[in-house]
Amino acid sequence: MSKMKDFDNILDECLERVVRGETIAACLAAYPEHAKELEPLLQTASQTRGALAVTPRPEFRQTAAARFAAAAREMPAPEKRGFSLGLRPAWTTLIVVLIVLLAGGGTVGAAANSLPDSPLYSVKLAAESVRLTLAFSDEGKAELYASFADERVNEIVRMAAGGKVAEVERATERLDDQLLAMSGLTAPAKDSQASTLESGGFFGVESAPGASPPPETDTPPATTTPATTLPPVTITQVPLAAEPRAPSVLDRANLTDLEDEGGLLATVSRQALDNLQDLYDALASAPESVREALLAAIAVADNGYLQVIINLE
Amino acid sequence: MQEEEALIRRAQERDPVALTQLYEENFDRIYRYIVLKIGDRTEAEDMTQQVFLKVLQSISSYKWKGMPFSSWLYRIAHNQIVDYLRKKSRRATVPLDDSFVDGGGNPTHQAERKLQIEEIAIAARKLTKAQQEVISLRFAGELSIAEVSQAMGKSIGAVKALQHSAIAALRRVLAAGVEP
Repeated sequence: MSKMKDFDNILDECLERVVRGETIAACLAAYPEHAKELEPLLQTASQTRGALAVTPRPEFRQTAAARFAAAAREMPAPEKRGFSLGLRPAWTTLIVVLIVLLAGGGTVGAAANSLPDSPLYSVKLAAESVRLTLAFSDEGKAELYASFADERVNEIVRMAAGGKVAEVERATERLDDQLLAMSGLTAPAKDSQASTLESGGFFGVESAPGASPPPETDTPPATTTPATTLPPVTITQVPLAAEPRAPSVLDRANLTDLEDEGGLLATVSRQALDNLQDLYDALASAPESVREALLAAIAVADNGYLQVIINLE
Repeated sequence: MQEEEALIRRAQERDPVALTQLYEENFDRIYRYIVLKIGDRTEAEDMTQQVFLKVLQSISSYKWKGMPFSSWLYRIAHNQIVDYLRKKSRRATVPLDDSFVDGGGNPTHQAERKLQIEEIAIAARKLTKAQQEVISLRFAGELSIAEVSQAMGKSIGAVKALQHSAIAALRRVLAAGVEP
């Protein structure tokens, strides 16, 4: 173990000990050879922890707990995701299975292309719900979620073109739920690799562009890289400023790399790129009133797809 | 870990005791993580509630694979924050809302606390994004190194090294005197 790694471990141990109530002096006494270097770091950590010890207001805590408890009571039974008919799971399943079986030329068939502003839309969501119920493997469910997410983006784009903000927002919420569910299904076991959990600074402010360089560079990422059978896919991060991004910025080159590949990773990667492209195209021509909702949809799609792709890689 | 897995299974079955336990164990730190990221108490309160409502909606799809539950929870919080910042345009400076600073009813103490938080916040902005995230997760979110490792997708060794560099950088900035 290198000296630096050794010191990183000692620092972390001391931080934990201080959190558990030990004094800084006690920790320094345990590592006298590192005391000079440890002390200022532990003091800074202690100062930071103390400054950041913000607690929620008691009234808010109480209200939020009551709201959470009420929501928990109102939640449908387990195994039901997304749309709910408000019935017991067995009944829901039976009813919607029948709907699906009748789908050939009936209501479900007609509902398949319905949009959120259509009376048939709830049938479409119910059919999706039952298809999920009938998919037994995680991979099967993940593939379905990918297909539903694709559909949500289509709905967002179509609703945005019509200036329907509320419908765009609701479809975006469903997209978020479905990408999150897909992320849960595809999450690797322990020792997984990079995530995107690094945006947003303190109080919503990033390290300013052009500001003085960071005092020290980040550490390198994890030393082990998982074996992948597909070329890595990179989706350029969507800019967060409220400026539309030119479609050409999307990294279509990686799509070419995946042309001959199969599997969920390739499917999701293609879908992510296509859907981000579609959302940006929609943003370029959307009425001003839906731009904010579309930007939120882009954020959800970008984050959600990126996490799933990382999981699958 | 086995305890957490059992707890999550029970929560997935809508066991109110398990749901309450998950909520109680994580509520304060998720709130703290959010409020320190966005600096607005009202928004942070709303967002914290949304995070836990989202947990209720999505927990049935959560698959236990040995990862700390908190890393999933912080992912949800993170998505909410990103969405919020995107809407507000994150390049704008968000004024520090001092209403979330608890001064124990003492205006002088409240002003001192606000200064303390501001000093750290301004100094932290000089850090890299990864360093900021480690500070947020470790000191505001109170996550363990293992949890931060999962949340950030980095090895435990890398997170420890990042933590070291972040604290050292913060110290240098604080020592030099922070400038907004």
